[in-house]
Parts: sequence; structure tokens; C-alpha cells
Amino acid sequence: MPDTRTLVTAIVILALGTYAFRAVPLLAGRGVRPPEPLERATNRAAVVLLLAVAATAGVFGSGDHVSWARTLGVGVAVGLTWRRVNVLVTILTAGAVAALARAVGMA
Amino acid sequence: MRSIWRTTPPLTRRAVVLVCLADAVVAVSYGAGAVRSGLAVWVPAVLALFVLAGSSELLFVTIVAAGGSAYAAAAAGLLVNSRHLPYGAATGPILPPSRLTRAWAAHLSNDESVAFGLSGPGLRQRRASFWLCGLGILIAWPLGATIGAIGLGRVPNLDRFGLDALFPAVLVAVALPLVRDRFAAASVLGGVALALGAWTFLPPGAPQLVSIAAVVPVLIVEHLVGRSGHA
Repeated sequence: MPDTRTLVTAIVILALGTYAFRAVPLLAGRGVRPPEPLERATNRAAVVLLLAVAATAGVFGSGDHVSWARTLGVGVAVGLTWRRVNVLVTILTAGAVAALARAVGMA
Repeated sequence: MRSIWRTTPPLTRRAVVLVCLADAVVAVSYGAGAVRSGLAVWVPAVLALFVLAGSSELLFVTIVAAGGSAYAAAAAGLLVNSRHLPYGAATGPILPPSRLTRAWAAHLSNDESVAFGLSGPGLRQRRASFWLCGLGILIAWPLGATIGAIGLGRVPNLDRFGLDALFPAVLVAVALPLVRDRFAAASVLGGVALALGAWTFLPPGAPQLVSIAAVVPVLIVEHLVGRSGHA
């Protein structure tokens, strides 16, 4: 375990670096309306990124823990969203499906 | 605060409340786990408030608890959080130009608030949804982590209740409807395939970032198709 001083320094680095990632694009883009094609590109990149985060979190969880039950739950969420079922029902069903799949012994 | 609540569409409001509750429960388990693995009580609490990015905090805590270097843990966390750069490029246009407002909004940017901030019928609703989700998580995550760290919350195995499926399901439910044409769909399919394929050999955070590469070839094809359409 690192000593407190090292730990505090590392946490400050992580916090400030993370804040920089968040703040730089917001402050740099202040007051300029991006041209339409650029705005469409950045929007699409964000949507792709969000769904890649969803896919990796769905299959591998927060670590390297593959769970078919969780993957099934998230797959059901994809299907329900496709069918335009509302957000709340979709989210709750995904959780319930994963829980049920585990209750019947799926990993 | 009242106007943020009222401007957010009712269904989004309820979804945000659910997301915050789920985050709080996960945070309790994260705080408890960090302390159980040998870290001081203040570590998860301070991380939760000042980093406010769950997956990078979990990674940081896991590396440090396993005896890894704290600086390497910070670097690993920063790689995960680098996705806030492209997020910020997309959420920028929904926020007011004030420097102070943006400096404050920056800290509230996370996967969920960005997803809610990009979806909604109009600019006002999107902006309100971003703030509501961002502020909700700012309260729920550090509060939950602190409660877990000081040992007040006893959390059973959360996976049994399918709680681990909620986070990806929220992103799917909110972001998938933003895929409105075949070019966007192609980008998403390509991006997801890249991220899942790169998972085994890239460090955490990098596979997700790599997904953005799928956007570029599709934009080029779209441009060419669009031009030939005009001809």
C-alpha cells in the first residue's frame, strides 16, 4: 500500500487530469457554434462511444467478468428500445431479466 | 433547481431518479469494497467527490489495493477518463456560453449525463436533463461511497438483483434512439465490434475510445454518396 503522501498526489493527478479532459472541450468550444457537419460528426462520435461503453460494460462488466445473464439483460434492452418501449420499462426489464437468468443458474 | 426539474421531460425525470438510486447502491458497495481491500476510509470518499467517474475510481482502487503503483493507477484511470474529451465536444453546443457555468458543468459530465444531455425533444429539455442527471450523480455517488466506506451500508451481492445490467441498459435505452439513419447505425455497429474485439489486448478504457475510429470511414462514404446523389 503506498504511503499517504504518494496516494494523495496520485489522487490529485487523477482528479485534475479528469477535470481537464472534461473542461477543455467545453471551455474551448465556448461561444462558437460549430459548423453543421462538425457538430454532426462529434454527435455521432459521442453516440458510438456511449454504445461502445454500453456493449463492453454489458459483456465484460466493470472488470473482465463475462456474464451471460447480464449480456442477456442488456440484449433485451436493445430489443425493447428498438421496439420503442419507454426508457424506464426498458431499464427495469433489463435488470429483471439478468436477475431471473441468474436465479435459474445462468452465469 | 426547480426549473431544471420542471423542464426535464417527466419520463426522463423518473429514469434519472432510477439511475441515481442505482448509482448510489453501487457506490455503497464500491466504498465498502475499497475499505475492505485495505484502503483508508477517506480514499473512496475523496475519489468519488473529486474524480466523480466510477469506472476509473474502481480501477484506481483495484490497482492500488493489489499493490500496484499509485501513479500507474492514476494513469490507468486517466486513460479510462480520456473519453470525456469527445463527450465534451458533443455536449458543448447544448450548454450556455458562460465560462463559469461550463467550468461547473464539466465536473458533472459522465456517461449517463452525456447520454441524457444528447437526447430530448429540444435544446431546453436536453440541457435540463444533463444538469438533472449530473447533479443527481454528484450527490448519489459520493454519498453512497462514503456510506459504504464508513461501514453503514451492508450490501448483499448486487449482481443477484441484476444491478450490473442497469448501467449498460440505461446507455442503450437513452443513446440507441439517437441512431437515426443507416450511416449512424453502421458507425455504431463498427464501433461496438472494434471495442469488443480490442478488449482482450488493450488496457481498460482504450477499447471504448477505439470505437470512435469507426466514425471516420462512414463519414467519408456518406460524403461520397451524398455528392453522387447530387450529381
